[in-house]
Amino acid sequence: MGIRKKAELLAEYLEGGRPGRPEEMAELFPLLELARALEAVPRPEMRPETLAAGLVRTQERLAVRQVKPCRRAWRIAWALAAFLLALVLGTAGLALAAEGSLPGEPLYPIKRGSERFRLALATSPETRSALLLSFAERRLNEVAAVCSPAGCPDDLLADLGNQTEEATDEIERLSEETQTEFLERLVDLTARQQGVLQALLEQVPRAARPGLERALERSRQGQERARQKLERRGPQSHPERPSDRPGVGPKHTPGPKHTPGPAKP
Amino acid sequence: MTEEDESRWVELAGQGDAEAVAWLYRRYAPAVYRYLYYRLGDIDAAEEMTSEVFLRALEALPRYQERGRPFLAWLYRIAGARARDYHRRHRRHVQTTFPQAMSSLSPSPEEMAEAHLTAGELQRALAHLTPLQQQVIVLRFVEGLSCSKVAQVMGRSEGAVRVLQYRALEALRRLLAEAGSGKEGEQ
Repeated sequence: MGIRKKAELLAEYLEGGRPGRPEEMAELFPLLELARALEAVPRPEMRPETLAAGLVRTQERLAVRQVKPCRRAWRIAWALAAFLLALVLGTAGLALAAEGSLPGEPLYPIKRGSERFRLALATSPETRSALLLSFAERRLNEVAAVCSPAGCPDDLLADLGNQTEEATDEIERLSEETQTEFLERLVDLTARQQGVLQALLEQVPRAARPGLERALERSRQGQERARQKLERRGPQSHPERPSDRPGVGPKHTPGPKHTPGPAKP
Repeated sequence: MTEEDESRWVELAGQGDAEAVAWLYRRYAPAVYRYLYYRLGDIDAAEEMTSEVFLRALEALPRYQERGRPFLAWLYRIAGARARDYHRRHRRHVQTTFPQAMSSLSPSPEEMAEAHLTAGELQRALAHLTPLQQQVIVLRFVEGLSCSKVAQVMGRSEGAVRVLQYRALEALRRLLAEAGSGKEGEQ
């Protein structure tokens, strides 16, 4: 008899569904008796107080575990919010502190990074043009603050020219209705650039002149582009000049650190 | 009690109803405790683990409902897994000698039937069997479940449970026979 058959017979005897046959019983009898002995083993029972204590413990733990994830979630949310707030405030504070920095100072790269970020966020061409003009204005102020009769860093002059060209390109993409105002601001800006650069050119040694001359030339070209556009449009295309409006008139850029003296050889 | 009644209590317990949790605990904790007592051989550990099993079962109720098995089967499943973890952690040394009362069980069927095993003695004997054999002995002969119910609890076919039952009893009989002959040799 195979093991499966024996197992089936044993199960049938144990569950009382089969009349006893001597040949089968002889083989299965020890197991049937053992099963009877096992069934007679006293069942270990939980004491009533243990049962009650276990129930209380289960309900307490269940309550704690139901509360815990909620508290944990709040803690994580608060920590995340605090971190984000610190990040935003820290970044904003740093960007604000960097606004007045000059080339060569530790915060200057943050100032330029902040400018690129603002430009990336600007969606309309008008906003981009206004931003680029204000950045070109900043470069001019930086030239006036950093350059001296001893010389002027070439990269700073190159930045001035690049920023002005970028602003000019962006303004040229504007519609005719909005372009006029920006072109006039550009003419004004380049005029002030030329004033500062010309003053510097008269002070610096000969070796430092080529950079200034290039910057001056680029500024003149930008101004020329703007003037030509304005002239093509004629006086009737811009009935109201920006300088006629309060607060939009030509700005004053401080001159270089030293008053221009007689030109050096 | 019908299956629908049990399902209703289980559903309420899943919603955090304290009365439903208490009902399920009072109804099933004794069976879970006995099962763990035989698997662990430690009263304190079995008591502690009984509430742990309920806690896990109640937390995992959504998964249980999806599978649609009897709640007791779910509890035994969790208890079985917890018992395996317990043994893995404690690496419990299996007692190699039977107590006096067990050793007195000879292979003779008459004597075997007359012998009165205690719960502790049965537990020590079960420690020599495989976890599946232990499970089938406890569910069939201590809890008195039918083969079909045991099959449901263990997630196996009824035929497989019958074979397991046969092998478990055979292994236990052999162990007792060896213990009996060892005792005779000592005398």
